[in-house]
Formats: sequence, structure tokens, C-alpha cells
Amino acid sequence: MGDILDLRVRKSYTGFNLSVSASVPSGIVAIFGPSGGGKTSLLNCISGLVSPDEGEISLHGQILFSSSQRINLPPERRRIGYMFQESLLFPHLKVRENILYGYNLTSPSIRRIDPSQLVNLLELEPLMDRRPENISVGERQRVVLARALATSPNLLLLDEPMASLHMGIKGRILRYLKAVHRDLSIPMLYVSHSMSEVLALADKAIILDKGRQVAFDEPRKTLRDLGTTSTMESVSLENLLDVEIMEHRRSNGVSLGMVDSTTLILPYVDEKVGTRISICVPAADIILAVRRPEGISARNILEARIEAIHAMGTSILVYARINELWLVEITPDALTNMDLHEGQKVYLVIKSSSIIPLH
Amino acid sequence: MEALHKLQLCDHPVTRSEVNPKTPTCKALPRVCSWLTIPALPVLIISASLLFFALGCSNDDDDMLVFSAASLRDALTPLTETFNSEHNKNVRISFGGSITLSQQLIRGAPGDLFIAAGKAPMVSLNEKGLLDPNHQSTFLTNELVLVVADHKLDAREPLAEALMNSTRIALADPRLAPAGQYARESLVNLGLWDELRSKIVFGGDVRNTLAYVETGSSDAGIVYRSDALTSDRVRIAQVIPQALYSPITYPAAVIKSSGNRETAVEFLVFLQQQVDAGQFQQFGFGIPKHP
Amino acid sequence: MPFPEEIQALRLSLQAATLGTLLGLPVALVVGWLLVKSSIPGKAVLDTLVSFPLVLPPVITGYFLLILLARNGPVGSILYKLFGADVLFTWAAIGLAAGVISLPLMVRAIEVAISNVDPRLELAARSLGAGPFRTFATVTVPLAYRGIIAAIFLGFARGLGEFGATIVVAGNIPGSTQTIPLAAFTSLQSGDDSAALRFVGLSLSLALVTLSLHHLLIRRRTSRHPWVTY
Repeated sequence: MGDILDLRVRKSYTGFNLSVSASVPSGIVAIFGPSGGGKTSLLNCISGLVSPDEGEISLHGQILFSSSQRINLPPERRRIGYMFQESLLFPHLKVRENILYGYNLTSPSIRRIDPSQLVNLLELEPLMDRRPENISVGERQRVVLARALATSPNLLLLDEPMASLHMGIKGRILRYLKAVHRDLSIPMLYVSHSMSEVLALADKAIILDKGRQVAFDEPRKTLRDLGTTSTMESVSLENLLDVEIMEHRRSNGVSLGMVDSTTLILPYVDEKVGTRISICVPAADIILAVRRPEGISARNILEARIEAIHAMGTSILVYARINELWLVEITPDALTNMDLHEGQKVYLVIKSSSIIPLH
Repeated sequence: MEALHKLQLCDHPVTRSEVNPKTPTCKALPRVCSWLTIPALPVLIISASLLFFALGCSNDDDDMLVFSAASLRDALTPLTETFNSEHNKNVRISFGGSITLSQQLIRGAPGDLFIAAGKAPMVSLNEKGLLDPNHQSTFLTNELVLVVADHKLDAREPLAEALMNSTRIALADPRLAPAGQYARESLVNLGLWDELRSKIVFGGDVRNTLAYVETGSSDAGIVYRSDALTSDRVRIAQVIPQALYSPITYPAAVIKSSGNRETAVEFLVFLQQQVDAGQFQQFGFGIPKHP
Repeated sequence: MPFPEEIQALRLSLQAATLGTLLGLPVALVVGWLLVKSSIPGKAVLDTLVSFPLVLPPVITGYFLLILLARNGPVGSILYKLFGADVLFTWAAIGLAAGVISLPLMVRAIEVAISNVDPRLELAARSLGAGPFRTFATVTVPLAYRGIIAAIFLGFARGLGEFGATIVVAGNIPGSTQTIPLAAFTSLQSGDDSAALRFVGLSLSLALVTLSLHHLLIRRRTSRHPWVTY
């Protein structure tokens, strides 16, 4: 995966200065950081909706912006798709017309994506003649995705696309995004302040704090390095995992699933055995134990080994590995009293009711 | 579990017709068709405007337009109708203060024939070379009178006293109508102009002036005898002595640039015939003593 | 036909107001876009220029038009070459005057309408490949249509009632340039009260029709055709 996007951007805003310098590879690259840190501004600079004060931006070797050479390609010529944070569907057009808006403006010789296939993939067929005000938030985000992809873009920018979605549909959209990336090979720049989304999706992450580029590396490495900084304060910590349904115990209100080569007891989900679903386990809902506890109501007790311990704002983040890496959030008080250290064998205690199945 | 269909990149460019045959190519409202709105709507608006504009600029060739002093309204209107029906034409008249009208003609207003209530407006047009030298004549005269509302004032009061006793006196605006100039001239010659100034109210033409007296907003006014005779809401209190003002004559002329000269000349001839037949005297006009 | 003068005045008023609105609308759209969406230098100058007809007495505006439209004037000479006729003292001149006088009103209404459209929608259109003009035509204008319709009616109504500039550039020629306001004024001046009353009635009816039409066009559609109305 070679580098496709060369970025050197400097722009002053009230309150902070945006300063980023990176060569971004193909694949999914996350832009991560606390709110107001300049992530959206960076996307706006790349898409051409805003001009940096100074710098260079080039995509696949084509210069989109260069302050020294006085080049500034207007957004409509950059062939960069943009999925905004709020679904900005055109309210006066139906879903079908929204999707085709950009498609019609794309020259036929450049079109590589068939909108009807997008409609199939994102399951939008029943919505085609509806108006944006008459469809749900999750449906709107899918339409926005389809609309942006219909222009066969060279790069897709996503600005916290799941921010307005509730937990139940986040997993679904995530799956769509992965499928789109896998099948269309469209590079994506994904802005998020959710660490779990970043960990689930991204190959690399740019960390921005108050406009400054603080790190650019694989997500886990960056998060580890940033452990003590205030950057991490407003991020949400969840573990997102895939589970294969093994068995149902409906009368007891639970289902059994295989995740990370261990069995997990989840709340009952209405899916056939053999189905894979996503689940979310908030890091703060996991209890850490140094001895296997007995006589407790929590149904899941998983053996793991501590790989890293980092301070994160006012909490402590423990990285514990079973096969996958799990995040557990505890208080500094717990840390001192439990005398935890790297390499230690611990038990992750998870209540079934803390597990959120994502549809 | 829903199967995620595998998306395939197309090797060939995808055209619109392949994609979505159900998409309507266009609907009536431009907001749906992005490609239609761009050129069509502004072009539509601009061509409609140009069309309208061209229509508006065009002059109506069958009409003949007479610009006439306001004092001729009652006399000229029925005569024009007679002319129109007998000669099968469509002569229209625009009445106003003679100076107002002459200024409009100087600015290019489309009048074909001009009848003024005094020489000066005609002279100013002549100086600008706007008049047809072959068709000019002076065909009427008039007198100045003091009128009051019908029920008011003792008619036997001498002129000067009648004027001094009025609260408000209406005159035509001397800048716009000869009637006002003649009136001012007589007041100046009476030596009363400065004293009466604060009581004077100006009308845009002599008919406005008459209306002020008719409606009671002025208790007296100086208008032509012909005007006084048209209204039964006013009566003549005094005749202004002829010696106090220049003779009132009504010159008429065809405009050189007129597009309806034939009709204009015909009309002028017709008017002269009517004057000779005494048609204007009943309205209070006089006939010039020399041809 | 009964009341020929009234019919003529009505016809002239409608023609002139229509022409004025037709001429003014594209100008108002362009100026509105320039003032709200563009970043050209000298916006303040443009704004001031466009506001003059609102702030100056209409007679003064009429005077400026008189100078421009005279046969040897800068605009009049071009128009004379194009149409072979004088503009002054025709209803085309009244239309122009009406357009100029209503322009500031239309520009303001359109400015408000345009700025009420979420600019992020326009950004979305740009990111999908639409240039600034296409974005304006396919996103901004459709979403601002109610305000644009209001601008049209405002301009039309103002054009119907225009007097000061009209009388300067077109005189008061019955049948050619005597619009309803001018005819009403003349009736008043000559003491013809019954005629004046007829024109009052005519003006009131016109006003009612205009307002009702406006209402009809911008009333909120209900369930049958759900639109998002801005």
C-alpha cells in the first residue's frame, strides 16, 4: 500500500492552529482526537471546502492545493467524496435523486461504480422514492454513503459518520463501511473520537490535539504513546467485537457466542445459530480481578494477560489480551490497591447485561 | 443474517441509462432536473423580458397623439370623437400644462401635434427645430377671469379687494402652464403679487387650479373664461382686465419627427374648420382677429 | 367596453409591473448571490448602489433614469439602435422604472431567502462535483423558493404602485403611460371624484388578488405532497 495522499497543511483558527504533515497510505486511516481538535477542519482542507493558509495537498500525485505554486483546485474537481457528520441530504430531492446527484455530474469515462449496486449493497431499494425527512437516521447515513460513493471518488472522507447513530445500528454501518472498503478499494479518511471505532477500522491513525499533529502510526501504538496526555480525556472507550452465535437459552434470557476463542454469555439475540453479529462492551463495565471470583452474578469470567497499563486523563486504561486486545477502564485508586503490573494474569469479569449486541 | 452482496468495480464506464431506467428524465418543476435549470430558467426570463421590452418600445402606428393645453379639454374631447368616427382614425389626446408638455416633447415624447395656451412653449420647441414649419397656426384666444365657489362672495366687489379678502387663491404654476404666467403677470401689474404671495396655491395645470376652487380648498382662483364655463360649481366673480396681461393665444403645430404627419395635418385642418364654424365659442374661447 | 380609461390604466399597470419584475428578478438573484455567497471585493459598494432606489425619492431615481434613457443618453442610445424606438414615454420606460425601484426590495428578500438555506448543503453539493453556479441553481434556489416568490410579489406590488419615477420618465399620457396611480392622481387633480373612486376600487381589488395569489403559492403543503419548506 503506497502513499496516496501527501499532506502538509497549516491554517490558523481562533483558539488553535492546525498543523499537519503526513503521507497517508491507501486503506482506512483514522483521524482521531478530542472534539474541537481540528479534525473536521483538516477534512475540509483536503476536500477543498476550506483553503489552508499554507501548505501542499496532493492525491495520487495530482496537486490539489499548493500555496507556493498558487494552485487551489475547487472542491468539485477534486474527486473526493465526503460523508458529513450530519446527513446533509438534499431535502427537496428524493433518495433516488440524492444518490444520482453526484453521479450525474461525473463524466461517464470516469464512472467505475454502478449506483444500482450501491443501492443493493446498502439495502436502499425500498427507500428510493422517499424523501429524506421520511426515513430514519440510520437509513439517511446509508443514503449519504451511497451518494458520496456514486461519484466514484478517489478518496472518501468520513466525518464521524456514526456520531448521530445509536449503538444498535453503529455495528451495521461499520459492516457496510468495511464491505465498501473491501470491495471497492476506496481509501478512506475516517474522523472519529471513538477509540473503538478507530481500533476496529483503521490501519493507521493521525492523532490531532488542538490542531497539532501529535502522532501518526498504527492505532494501538499511538494510543499507547498518548496514554498520559490530556488528548485522551474526551474519548469513549468501548470494545467492539464480532461474535458467532452458538446456542440459545431463551428461557434463561441469554445466548451463547464464540468470541476471541472464548465463550461469552450475552443477552438473548434473535438471530439464527451460526450468524455473526457485532457486540460492544464498554471498557468501564469490565471488572478486573486478580483471582478468579466465585459466587457472583456476572456470567462471564475471562482469563487474560495484562499487556499494558496507561494513565488516561483521570482514569487508568488497562490493555488485556486474550487473543484480541481488550480495553478495561479502572480508577487510579484501584490500580494502587491492586498492585497490577504488565504480564500479570488477570480475569475480566463481564456481566451479560453489559454486553450490547449491535444490529 | 443479511448477505452483504459483493460490490464489483466496473471495468467499463457505467452510463446512466444502464443504471436506473426508472429515473424520470425530467419533471415539470426545474428543482428536480439539475441539468435543466442551469441554462433554461435564466434564458427564459431574459427572453421574456426582451420580448416585453420590444413590445413596450414600439409605437402604435395607427394612433395619432395630440399634446394639448389642459384648458381645451372640454372643447377638444367631443370634437376629437367626431373626427375619429368620421375619418376612421384613432386620435388620442394628452392634456396638461403647456410648458410641462413642451418639455416632454423636447425629451422625445411621441406627440404628433402640439396645441399650447401661449406662445412661449411653442417658441422653445421651434428654437430646437422640432416643429414642422409648414403647419403651424394660431387658432384660438382666451380671457382670464377670477372665479369663486358658486355660493360665495359678493360678485360686485372690485377685483383688488376681492383678491385681498380671499384666504387662499389658486393659480396655475407659472413654471408649468401659461395660465399661471398670465395670472402672475396681471397680479404683478396690479402691484399685488408680493402681498398675495403667501396666499397663493399652485396647480399643475389650469384644470387642477379650477378643481381647487370647485372643491373649496381655495376660495378664489384665476383661470381662463373657458375653464370657468365648464363647471357649475364655480362662478365668475370678476373678469381680469385684458390690459393687465399679454394676449392669450393658442398656437398649434405639427411635430417634425411625427410618424403620423398626414393624420396630424388632417386634424389641424379639421380643427380650423371647427373654429371657423364657431364650435369653440360656446366653450368661452375667442377667435384671433388676424388669420 | 365600459370604463375604457380604467381598463387601459389596468393594462398599462400590469404590463409595466410584469416587465419590471421580469427584468428585476435575474438581477436580484445575481446581486443577492454576490452579496451573500461570493467574496468579491467592493460588496459594500454594490450594496449601497442597489439600495439607492429605496432611499432616494422616487422622483430623483426617475431623474437619473431620464438622463440614462434619453435618446442621446448612454443607455437610451443603445436601446434606440436595438429597437429603433425611443424608450422614454413608453410603457417600457415605466417597466424599467418599476424594475429599478423594486430592485432593492427584491434583493433584500432574496438575500434573506438565500442565507436561510443551510450553507452546508451547498458544501455537500460542491463535494459531489457541482460548481458554484450549478449548486446555486439546483440546491440554493429550490430551497429558497418561498423567499424568491415573496421577492417576486414584493417587486410586482411595488411596481404596480410606482408613481414618482414613472411620471418623470414616461409622463402621464392616457392610453400609453397612464398607469393606475397616475390616473388616480389625475382624477383627484381634476376634481373627478367618481373616477378617483373607481381607481381606488381597482387598486384595492388588485391588491387583494396579488396577496391571495401570494398566499396560495407559498402555503405549506400538507400530507399529499410533503415538501420540506424553508
